[in-house]
Amino acid sequence: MSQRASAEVGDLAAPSSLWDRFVGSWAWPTTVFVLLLVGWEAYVRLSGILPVILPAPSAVLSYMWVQRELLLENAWPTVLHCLLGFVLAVVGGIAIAVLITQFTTIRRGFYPLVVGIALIPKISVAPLFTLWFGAGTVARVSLVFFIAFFPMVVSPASGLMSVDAGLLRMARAFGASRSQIFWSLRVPSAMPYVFDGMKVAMSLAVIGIIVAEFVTADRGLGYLVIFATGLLDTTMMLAAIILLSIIGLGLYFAIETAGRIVVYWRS
Amino acid sequence: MAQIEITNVSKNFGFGNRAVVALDRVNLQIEKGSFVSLCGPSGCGKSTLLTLMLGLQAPSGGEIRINEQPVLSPDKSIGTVFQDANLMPWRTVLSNILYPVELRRLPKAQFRERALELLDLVGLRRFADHYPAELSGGMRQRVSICRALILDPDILLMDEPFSALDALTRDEMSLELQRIWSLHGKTVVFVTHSIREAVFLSDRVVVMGLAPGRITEEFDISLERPRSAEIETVDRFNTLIHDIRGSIARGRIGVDVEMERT
Ligand SMILES: Nc1ncnc2c1ncn2[C@@H]1O[C@H](COP(=O)(O)OP(=O)(O)OP(=O)(O)O)[C@@H](O)[C@H]1O
Ligand SMILES: [Mg+2]
Repeated sequence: MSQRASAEVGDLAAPSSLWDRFVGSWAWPTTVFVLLLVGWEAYVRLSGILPVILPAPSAVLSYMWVQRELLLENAWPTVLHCLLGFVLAVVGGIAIAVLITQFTTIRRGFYPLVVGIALIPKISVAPLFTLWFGAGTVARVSLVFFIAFFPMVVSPASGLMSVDAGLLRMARAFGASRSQIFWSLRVPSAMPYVFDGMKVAMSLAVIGIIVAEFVTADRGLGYLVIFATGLLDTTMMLAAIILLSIIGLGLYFAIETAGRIVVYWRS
Repeated sequence: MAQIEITNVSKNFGFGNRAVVALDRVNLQIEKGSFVSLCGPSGCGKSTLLTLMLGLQAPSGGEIRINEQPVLSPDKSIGTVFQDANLMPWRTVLSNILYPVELRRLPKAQFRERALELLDLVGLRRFADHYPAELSGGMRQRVSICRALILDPDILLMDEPFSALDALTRDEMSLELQRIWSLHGKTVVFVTHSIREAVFLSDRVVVMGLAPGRITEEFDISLERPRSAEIETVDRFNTLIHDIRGSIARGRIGVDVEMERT
């Protein structure tokens, strides 16, 4: 057990009073959140604002419950395509990162290109992808892949190069070969970077799938937002947006948790 | 023939007006089983000499032979301890010690017992399954000494291994190193800025000078072993420290610098 580490943190965050303990726990942010919802609800009821402009949170929540089947039916393709594009970006990005860091020729030729393309505002190519790949799944997954790919190259690549110089010297002194250094030093050193890259890639992937569904789709939560706009059904729109946020947060925390397990030595 | 034969070794870094002569025609013979310390001002090439002996870099001129073989690349018969422990934070203490075994593709199971014995030797057996982050600096450095010893190398090269430690731990580690050395009879080359430590541990102290990096003087330390803290009351011990300090001070004035001034 890391008694030393936890003792240090414990000393800093030692709860002194009841109030400090409250602020330090989950209760405090939860309270803030609930208060904001109550404020929103009260504002809608007291001001008589039109539901088309701003529906009450209670209305949105009850809509979500009543229309749960419609929402889940549309959530499924969104999640699936988002994950598909994300996984492809992770696998492809790491593969390219390895090639770039291990072979000087490839790095010289391709890295400037990768950095250059990384600077393109990627959402702008969404219509182009529709032109190339049609209006189907391929276009959507491609956009997600394209938008999530670059952080998955840049971050693992810098991770693979980030090995501590002292460790590198030590390994060489003990006769480690290039491939031994790669597996025993570079890969573990890159892990924190890989997960940082995955967090960025995941938030971008969620944006990517929504934009893709805005542009071309007949299903999905992004499609539902556009569809609701056409109907002026703000409640439906907010319901879809809230569900999207929940999904995005869920995926993000899944990566965060996986990262904490894999990079166990960085707590 | 000595176990380590350093003949006319030079090492230059950089070009043009950034050129540095880190080592200039260094000659040094180190006998098997002896404990030799390198002392000298910062920048005189102590680490460079060790790096060359490790085979991590090639000399610009001259030759280093270990066990009559020219040093071309890192060798199994050498164990090394650096200024920092350089432990991998994602591996346990035991797994860190077994790293050289793994690199040689030897069966790890066979070396497990030995690793635990070494941990016993430095009093850290119960930390075998801990991670480096849970250890103090001194404990980590002891683990790195175990790692250097795991393949039972004939030669141990140590570059300021105790410089990150507090004075008391440092003295303890000196005693421990002396004990390990006397038990295992290895050849040790030990770089330190502490003259006291060098005299305490060594059979021979080699003093190096600056600009260019070179050997200026050698001292035989014929004090009785085993040595304990009591040695500070021995006159000869203190005389040696005094003489070596003077020698280092003289070596700080570089040859090049003198010539430029005239
Ligand atoms: N890789 C390198 N590139 C350029 N110059 C170097 C390199 N390594 C060492 N030097 C130079 O060689 C000289 C000797 O350096 P070295 O590290 O061997 O000194 P040292 O005696 O170990 O000093 P210290 O006691 O501070 O550790 C220095 O002038 C340093 O600037
Ligand atoms: Mg040095």
